[in-house]
Amino acid sequence: MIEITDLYKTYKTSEGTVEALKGINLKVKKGEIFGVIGFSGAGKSSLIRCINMLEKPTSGSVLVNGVEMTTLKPKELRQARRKIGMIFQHFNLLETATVFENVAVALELSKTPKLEIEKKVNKLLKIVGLEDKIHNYPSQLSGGQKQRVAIARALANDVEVLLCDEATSALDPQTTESILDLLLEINKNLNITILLITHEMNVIKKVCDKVAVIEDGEIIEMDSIVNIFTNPQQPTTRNFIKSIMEEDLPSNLIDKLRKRDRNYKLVRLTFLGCSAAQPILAKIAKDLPLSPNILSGNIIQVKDETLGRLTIELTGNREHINQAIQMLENVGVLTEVIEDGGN
Amino acid sequence: MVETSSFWDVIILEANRIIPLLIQATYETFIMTFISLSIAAIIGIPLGVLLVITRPNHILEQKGVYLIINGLINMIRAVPFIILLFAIIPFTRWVAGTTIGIRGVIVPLVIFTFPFIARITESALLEVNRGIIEAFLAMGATPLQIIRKVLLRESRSTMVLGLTMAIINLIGASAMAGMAGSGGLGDLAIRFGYQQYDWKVMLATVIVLIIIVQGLQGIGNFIANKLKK
Ligand SMILES: Nc1ncnc2c1ncn2[C@@H]1O[C@H](COP(=O)(O)OP(=O)(O)O)[C@@H](O)[C@H]1O
Ligand SMILES: [Mg+2]
Repeated sequence: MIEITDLYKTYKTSEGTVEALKGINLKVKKGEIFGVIGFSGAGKSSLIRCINMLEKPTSGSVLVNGVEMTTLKPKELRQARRKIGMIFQHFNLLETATVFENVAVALELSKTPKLEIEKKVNKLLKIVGLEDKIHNYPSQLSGGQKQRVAIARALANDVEVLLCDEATSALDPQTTESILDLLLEINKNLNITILLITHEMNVIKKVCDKVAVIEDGEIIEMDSIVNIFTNPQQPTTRNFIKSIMEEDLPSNLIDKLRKRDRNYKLVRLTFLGCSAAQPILAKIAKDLPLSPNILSGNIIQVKDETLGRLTIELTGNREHINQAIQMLENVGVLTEVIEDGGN
Repeated sequence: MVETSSFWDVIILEANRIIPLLIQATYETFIMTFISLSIAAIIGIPLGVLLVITRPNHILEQKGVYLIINGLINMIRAVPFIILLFAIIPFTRWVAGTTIGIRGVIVPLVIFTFPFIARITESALLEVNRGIIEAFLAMGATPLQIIRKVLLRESRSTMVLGLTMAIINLIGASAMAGMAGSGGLGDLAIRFGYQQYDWKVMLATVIVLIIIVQGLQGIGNFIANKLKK
């Protein structure tokens, strides 16, 4: 649905040039929710704005539904844009227009007949759950409600793609959840492809099928949501994951382990499904002369999958410890030794 | 008893003399002001829009157009009205066929006011949130649609306040145009109040001007408030 190849974007300012994007390649399949995560200044906004040509790419190709966006004439570009919805961090609604008018205006732009506009706006407001606010002005709405209006407006012309530029970054956690639920619904029921950018791993975790991590204008890692969570490659990716999962063990616990004069390893286990690790831990305890000690554990929901995380301590003979890790690996549990102690 | 009655007699006598003059002059002032305002708005608002959309990084960036309009407006705005009034007499005669009366004064009033309206429009439209313009670009809006449905719409409250300012300036300028024998309240004040030392006419004119300006500003504020949302 969206295919970006060798995309570069350089801004020229009076202070010099900024290379905001340095050779981006990515593909978003139809019906997918694709997330791009990165810190502030990484180039996320530049990337998403290069898709509908709000920023003109310096070089590279952007295909949306088979149409090469970078070479369109103004009129063709407007046509193409009508099929690409976009929502923003600050909603960008008309302050002087009611909820109804804010959505209707999108249809007026495409010269939709009046009667049809009325029917369609009502339908859209129902989808986003704002039927009762139809005659309110944006100043009378909460942030979440404003974003709902913006979503209705973005969808008005039967778009195929929805671009979300930090759409939940101005919202509190609960409102963020409800807007993300709405995006999931839209994706599922209307089969709209969604590309979203964010700096919040929570957003990615909840809705995305696929993730790209962007840093300094480059995609440093890209994979399915499950792979990103179970097997992150880059330190930045790990930091993002860490930001939503409590991972640090209490320091007095670690001190205690260190003080003993024995071989031990602290191992972090990651596995799909919440009970996948239990049987194998029991088996290790039975087959080997060591007993795995669970230090911490949690379960998180990643899109449609459940992911388990355990931190265990294995104390004993070095060889036995390695055998235990091997047994875990063999049944598909991902292991990461976070501390190798003793002698 | 006798004195009081004669006092009132004088008042009534003077009122009978002054009020018709005031009504006529006020009527002329309104005519001058509203004709000039309409023409000036028809010229000034589009120029103001152009000043906004042709500037760098806007929807129809055109550096040349921007610089020309900007320069022209600065040039006219540099000339005080009283000088403009006399300086453009040949032009006025060419356009209106006369330089006196309402007809004659409308030309300088328009020339004086349209740059002001252009600047008002410019600053009002520049206040419109860039994000909204981007949202409309992203929806595939044409430049004309953005002008109508975003820029002019979102700035309409500020525009009304600006136009109120323009009207009040115009009333002031039209009074000055009394020097050129334009008719209207300024003309009245100069002919009677100044040249014939008739302080009563002068005072009455000033009072009427104050009432008009206060009234217009009140109406302007009221409409602007209504349009805010
Ligand atoms: N219009 C612009 N002009 C100049 N530099 C810009 C512009 N937009 C973004 N940048 C720069 O490009 C880099 C990436 O910005 P951006 O895409 O907004 O990142 P993000 O959305 O991830 O915070 C930053 O260094 C930023 O300062
Ligand atoms: Mg950004």
